[in-house]
Amino acid sequence: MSHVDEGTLHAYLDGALPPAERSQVDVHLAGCPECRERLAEARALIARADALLALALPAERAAPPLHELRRRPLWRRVGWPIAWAASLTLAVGLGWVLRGRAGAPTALARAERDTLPQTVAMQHYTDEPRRVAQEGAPAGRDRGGREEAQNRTQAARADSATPPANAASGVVPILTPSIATSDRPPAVRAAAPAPAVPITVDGMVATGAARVMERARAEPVMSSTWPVIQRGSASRMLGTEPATIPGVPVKDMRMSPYADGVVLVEQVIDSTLVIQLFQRRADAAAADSVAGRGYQFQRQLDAERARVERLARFVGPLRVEIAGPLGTDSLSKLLELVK
Amino acid sequence: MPDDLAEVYRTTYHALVRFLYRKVWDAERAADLAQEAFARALVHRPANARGWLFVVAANLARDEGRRRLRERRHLTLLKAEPAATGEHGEPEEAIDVEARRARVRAALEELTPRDREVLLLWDAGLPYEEIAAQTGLAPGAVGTTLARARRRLVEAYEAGSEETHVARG
Repeated sequence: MSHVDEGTLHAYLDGALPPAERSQVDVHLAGCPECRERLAEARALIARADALLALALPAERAAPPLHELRRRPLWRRVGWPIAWAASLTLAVGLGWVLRGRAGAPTALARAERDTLPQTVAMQHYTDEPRRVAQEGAPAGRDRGGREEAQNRTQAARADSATPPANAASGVVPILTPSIATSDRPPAVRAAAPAPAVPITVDGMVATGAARVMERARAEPVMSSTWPVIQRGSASRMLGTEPATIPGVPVKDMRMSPYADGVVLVEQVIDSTLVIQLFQRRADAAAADSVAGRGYQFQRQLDAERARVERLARFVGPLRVEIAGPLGTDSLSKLLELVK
Repeated sequence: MPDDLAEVYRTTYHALVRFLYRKVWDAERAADLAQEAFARALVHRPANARGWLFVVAANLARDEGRRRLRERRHLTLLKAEPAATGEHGEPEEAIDVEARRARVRAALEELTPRDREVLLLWDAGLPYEEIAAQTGLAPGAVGTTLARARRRLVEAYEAGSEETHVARG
């Protein structure tokens, strides 16, 4: 037998040679110092490669019981890229149908949507705080007036950095869905169609008081662009267990793709009704500008998305916003259940 | 549930997570994808569960990789600066561990896709025959491929270390 090639030596050491071939190699090695030396080298190489691979191990966690995997939601079993596409299609299709049923958006609404300037939120903001204050909002938000809106970014940031003491008590509607996000008088706003098209299987973004105030208009972001994470990661990001509505199945937990510490918990009330809880540490001073850019970009992509209701409250150390295809009252009740 | 799948789960779950981790480099995601693969196995009940799982896992990781790439491109467009890294204020030894892990990762990425796949499958505990079946290699070629992959991994790792030292020094 000629010298043993390197591949065979590795297979030999890996215990992968068929018995016949293995004895041939044994015979050759017995009479060939050169190949014995190469065998030693191969053995060292294998050990070294194994050691290197061992440097790159994930932290080992206990495997969940196999039968629990069975309960993974169907959309995950099907494979999420497909599921995403499906849910998007569903959302868009549903939106189309519902929109037809609810009456086409008024020309007014359409015009607003099409133009939707960045400053809209600022203008909207001017009469929003008063409303909020009436409903028992934290004092920190009780600031109205156009001139103060000029400073709103700073103020709102300070606000989110130090949630007022009474914050945990109340459910604070910080945003109403709004076709009427412009500076039209309240009367026109009241006349605007109610959130007639609450579709969104996929949701929208809320990242805490500061940015919500800046973008008063509900801006859906496909949650599919938010990576799914496990509860452990969510807890770590939030510094506490994620807030959920007890007794409602959690569909998934996701993290904001914009490195701003926002966690999204999606809970399934029934097969067509997904409630989204956007949450982050109330004291988190995340990279506002970066996230702002990101969300803005997303908005361009999602210009045709439906509006949804959005409410927020503080739950322990977290600021939680709820979003879903329900009326304000229902969402408000659900939000009160969040723990 | 078939007993054999339960057994495969018991014996293979961590290996599958490890295999996936070296592809997605995120422990949570790796665990998630591994669980996804098993969840699918519960539905499909493949005959050769272990081999099947690694095929599915490799596909999931590839999809994940593509998605990440898309997202990264997307984010690069959006972000003037990359997200802050190392935000956790890690202790020094953790940084060492991280640095080594990063070097191993970089070294693995220098391998050809097939060499890397064969190496990772072997490290996950698959026998030569299954590695051959998965990668389309002739069974006799697995040893040669593994030998090459191991050598390149070690060489790339050491080259990377030297570079780091030069850069530091």
